[in-house]
Amino acid sequence: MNCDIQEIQDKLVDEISMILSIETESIDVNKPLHSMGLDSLSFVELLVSIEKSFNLKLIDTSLSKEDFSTINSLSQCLLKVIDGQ
Amino acid sequence: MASKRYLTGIDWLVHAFDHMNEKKIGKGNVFHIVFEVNGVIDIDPFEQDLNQFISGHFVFKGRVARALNLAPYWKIDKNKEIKPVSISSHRIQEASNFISFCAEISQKYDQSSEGYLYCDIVSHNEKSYAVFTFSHKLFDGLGAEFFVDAFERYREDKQSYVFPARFCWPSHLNRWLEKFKAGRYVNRKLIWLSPKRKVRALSIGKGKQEYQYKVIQFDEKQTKKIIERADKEAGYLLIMPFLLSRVTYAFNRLLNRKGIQNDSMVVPVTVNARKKGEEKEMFFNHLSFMFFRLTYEEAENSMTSIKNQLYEQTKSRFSDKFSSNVMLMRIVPIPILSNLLGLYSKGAMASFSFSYLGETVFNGRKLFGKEATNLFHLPVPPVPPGLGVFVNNYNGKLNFTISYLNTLLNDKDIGFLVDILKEMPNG
Repeated sequence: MNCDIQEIQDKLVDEISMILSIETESIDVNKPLHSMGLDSLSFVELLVSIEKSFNLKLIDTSLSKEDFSTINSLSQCLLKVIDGQ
Repeated sequence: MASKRYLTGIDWLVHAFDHMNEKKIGKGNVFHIVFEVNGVIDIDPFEQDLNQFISGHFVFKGRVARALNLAPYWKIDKNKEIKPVSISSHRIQEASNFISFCAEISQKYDQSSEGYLYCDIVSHNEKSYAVFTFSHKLFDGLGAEFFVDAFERYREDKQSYVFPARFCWPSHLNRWLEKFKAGRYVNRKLIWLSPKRKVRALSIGKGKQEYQYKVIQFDEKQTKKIIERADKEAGYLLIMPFLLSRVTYAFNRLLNRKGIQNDSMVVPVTVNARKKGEEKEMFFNHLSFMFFRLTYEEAENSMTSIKNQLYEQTKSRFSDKFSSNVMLMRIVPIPILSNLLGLYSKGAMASFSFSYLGETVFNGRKLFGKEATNLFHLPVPPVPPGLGVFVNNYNGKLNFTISYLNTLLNDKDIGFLVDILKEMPNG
């Protein structure tokens, strides 16, 4: 799968906006996910959407809190995993 | 276009739970929300404001009726007077007696009188506890918090407060194929959940049954440690599976101690099902369920299994399918539905129920002008299993409530569970 970082970021912003019922414009890609209002259930929804979009199952990976903390860091991390496949 | 407030399948299920509880323990499916505040609340103006606020919500004039299309709806009797809430005031000598006092409060309300909200103010020295009792027929946990939050906003500026005008809700008497497919999926899941022999659960026992509560409060420092531990052991933001896994561990130890080692534990977990545009709905039940099954071997260390089951249920949209499936049950009269539910898994139904409400939605940090130092829920879960664990986070502090029938657990058992759960920040 060929993706660039912007594409991944846009996809994540779209998904989070849908999950949290908020406008995409109000999403700051450098803001921690928990401060946007994501909880355990909505976070797992995001993981499911990542599996559907990028074919990556992340629930049992060793990705750290830092990898997941913002949309920006998550996008970079996803890009590395996709490139490594 | 809907012109009535039709009940959803989940509302109907809640009515069935209410009926089951009425039959078994003489009280309905209610819950308390306790606000702990600094200072003494002046009861008369509080009561007056609360009744003014309630009078603006004609939903309180309602009761269940069946429409010509057979779907149940909330019938508003415009000529009916809303029964005013009479706030009772109490004083306790020892703060440690407060929780058992709440259990006594919960015994006194007659749910058949169509009262949907009650309030008691309990004072101890310079502290007060406002104990709101809500009927699940009209509120779910988050809705009740939104209601008190809205009451506070109303009190701050009565002139500009706008009472919600929207009161219709679709009958959902369409898309039958989709509902039947959801029903088939949910039934398969429920069959998978149902253990071969019997759900691994405590036996309800005999004698007069009353609800008791045990509340464990963690301060900000302890809560931070628990969240750090959850991040490390379950993963970022996965606090719900972490807490469920710790609670399962505690119950597994207790069941082992009692020699109950048969088959699997089954845990229904309530989830918020508010959709876009309904995020702040105050009235009726906007929740659904997920179900977790943990074999005897998994129960000691259940994190991986819980995370995988959570993931699979999210992926398959199980909670949406469950809501859709129970829409079909609205045709069944409540007494029959409650009997049918009682038959599930040879009457055991579940090991315990679990709910993680997350961060409180009560935005204000004040109740009636007094600083609210804590907020926690004391629910009466359905019988069976007659046992539930409920967790919420108020202002960075986690509250754990174990709600149980007195015939299920004795003081020693509760002490055993509490000791394990209190270890959570230290893992």
